[in-house]
Amino acid sequence: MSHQPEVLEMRTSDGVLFNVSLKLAQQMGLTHNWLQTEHGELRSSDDDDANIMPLDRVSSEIFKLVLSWCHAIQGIQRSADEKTRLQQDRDVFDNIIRESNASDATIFELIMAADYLNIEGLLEAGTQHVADVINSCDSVEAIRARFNIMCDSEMDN
Amino acid sequence: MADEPSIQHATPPASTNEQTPEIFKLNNDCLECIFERLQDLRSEVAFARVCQRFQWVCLNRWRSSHIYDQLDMEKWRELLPNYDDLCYFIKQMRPFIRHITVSSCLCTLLKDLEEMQIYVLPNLTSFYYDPEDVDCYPSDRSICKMAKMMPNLLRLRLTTPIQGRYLSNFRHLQELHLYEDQHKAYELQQEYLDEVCSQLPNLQVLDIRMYDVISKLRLNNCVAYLNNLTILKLNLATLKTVLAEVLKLPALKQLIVLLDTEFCIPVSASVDTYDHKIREVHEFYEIMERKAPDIIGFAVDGYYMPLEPGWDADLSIWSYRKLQRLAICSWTHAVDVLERYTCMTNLQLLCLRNWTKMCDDVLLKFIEMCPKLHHLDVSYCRELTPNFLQRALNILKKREPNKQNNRFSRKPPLLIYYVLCGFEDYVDLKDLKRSPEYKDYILFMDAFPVSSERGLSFVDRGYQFDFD
Repeated sequence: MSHQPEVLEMRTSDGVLFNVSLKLAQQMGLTHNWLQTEHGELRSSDDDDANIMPLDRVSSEIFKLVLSWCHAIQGIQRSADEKTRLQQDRDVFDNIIRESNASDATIFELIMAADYLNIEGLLEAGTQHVADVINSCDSVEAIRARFNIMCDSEMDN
Repeated sequence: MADEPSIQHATPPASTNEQTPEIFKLNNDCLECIFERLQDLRSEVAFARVCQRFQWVCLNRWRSSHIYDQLDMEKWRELLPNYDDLCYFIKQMRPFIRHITVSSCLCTLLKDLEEMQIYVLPNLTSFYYDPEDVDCYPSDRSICKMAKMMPNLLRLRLTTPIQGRYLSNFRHLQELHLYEDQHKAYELQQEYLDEVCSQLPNLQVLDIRMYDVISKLRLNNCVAYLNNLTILKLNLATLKTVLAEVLKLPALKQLIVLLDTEFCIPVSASVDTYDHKIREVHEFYEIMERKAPDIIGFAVDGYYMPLEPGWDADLSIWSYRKLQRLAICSWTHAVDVLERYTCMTNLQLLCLRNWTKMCDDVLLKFIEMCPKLHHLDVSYCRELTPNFLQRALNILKKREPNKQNNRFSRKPPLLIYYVLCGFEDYVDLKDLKRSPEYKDYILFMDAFPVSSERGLSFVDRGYQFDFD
């Protein structure tokens, strides 16, 4: 009788293989779908590739940050209060981007990875971070300057 | 009706700049998540004005939230104190604005929109003008401008005095409300009423009542055109000469009649003992008689109508027993006359406001014998007691025991309107609105039933009929 393995192999878009504990991987909604639809039961086979979950849209660099986030979340006592939980997610996110000295590009890729992997807490924290940056800008020009966006000619009409 | 502008749901092309801003790599779902977390409308507008892509995301969210379907210039000015932001926002939302309610000066609003270069609101369907503390009467020119600006308007409420010229320019109008229960300097002109009726084939609701003068409006030239009219509200003076024709209107569902009065109490009369009854009952009884097979509801204001015990003894409606809605208000006589109405087992709404001698027992008979009763309005009935509530609850529980466990055939709870009635204090003291014992059976409403007048009567100074 086959059983659910404790470790899931995941390969990022640049070919790097990660062994992720099932408990951690279950924070990602994408793995539920993959396990249910692609592999109802993982089985040993000559073709080991069949048991590797592909992450075609996430690079290894970003996936490491995702795993850091998942580890940190797993390690804290989650509050029953939604507002407090959101703040916990924010704090973890802020720590990660600070420790990794993440650029805007990295932050956006992390948001897209959260969207792709279906990690709600990470997506909320990332988008809240960007929203806070926008909220702190006091004009349209300030937002453009902050994100290096040139003005569309049509926006002036 | 003009075509609604369509919104492309595909992602618009990203900037073709060589150095594409990193933020453009986010897909639209992520941008929408960011939008949802912006702190206020000012930030949202700033975000929208950054580039076309962000504008597209914001417009989608504003439109689908329906928060800004109603143009509220005062409120939007507070949310967007910067004039450029306000102009930008209104221009973006222009195709999606569906309602406008104005309580300040209409002429100022029209001027403001013109200055913002807003000339057409293509999807505006309702416009309510009800000024508070402002004497701003729209001129004929303003009405003409409005008709051009709002070509697809369906519902119009204008309670200030107007001549009526250009009202017929609202070609798709379905509802025209001109009544306010206050003094009005002048009423619509007859020739423009004729135009409205003859040139607006979609008209379904017409309210041309005048509060404090004897109306001079006549429908004799108009009634033949009102084939789609479902609701007519008018003064008795207007109804008198066209009663037969009005009762033959093929689509008529509701007729509300305001008794004409001019408040000129003789100098020698005492205000306290002056008889306020308006003794014009011929039309009332004629409607009762002619439309008896079709009457499913009627309401009378007992303060003004000269109703005495026995007034309803010989009505033809007893043969049909079709009443679903009954409202008799401000009744000062004995309550036993009410019992005969318990035979109307289809009653859904019972309004007995301001009955000076109302008692628990009579009311309980309605609860017992009218299983479809959904609205019970006993506002201002001071003689009712808290005992009524427990007894009513027992009757309802006996009819539907264990209602909370039966999910398949649940009747909605009985709504009791209890403003200033004898058990109002008890309801508030015991917090019965949140009582688990009551909540599946009785809900307490501290307002009045929808589409009834506020105050001592369901229908003020007159009567109302509902037809099948």
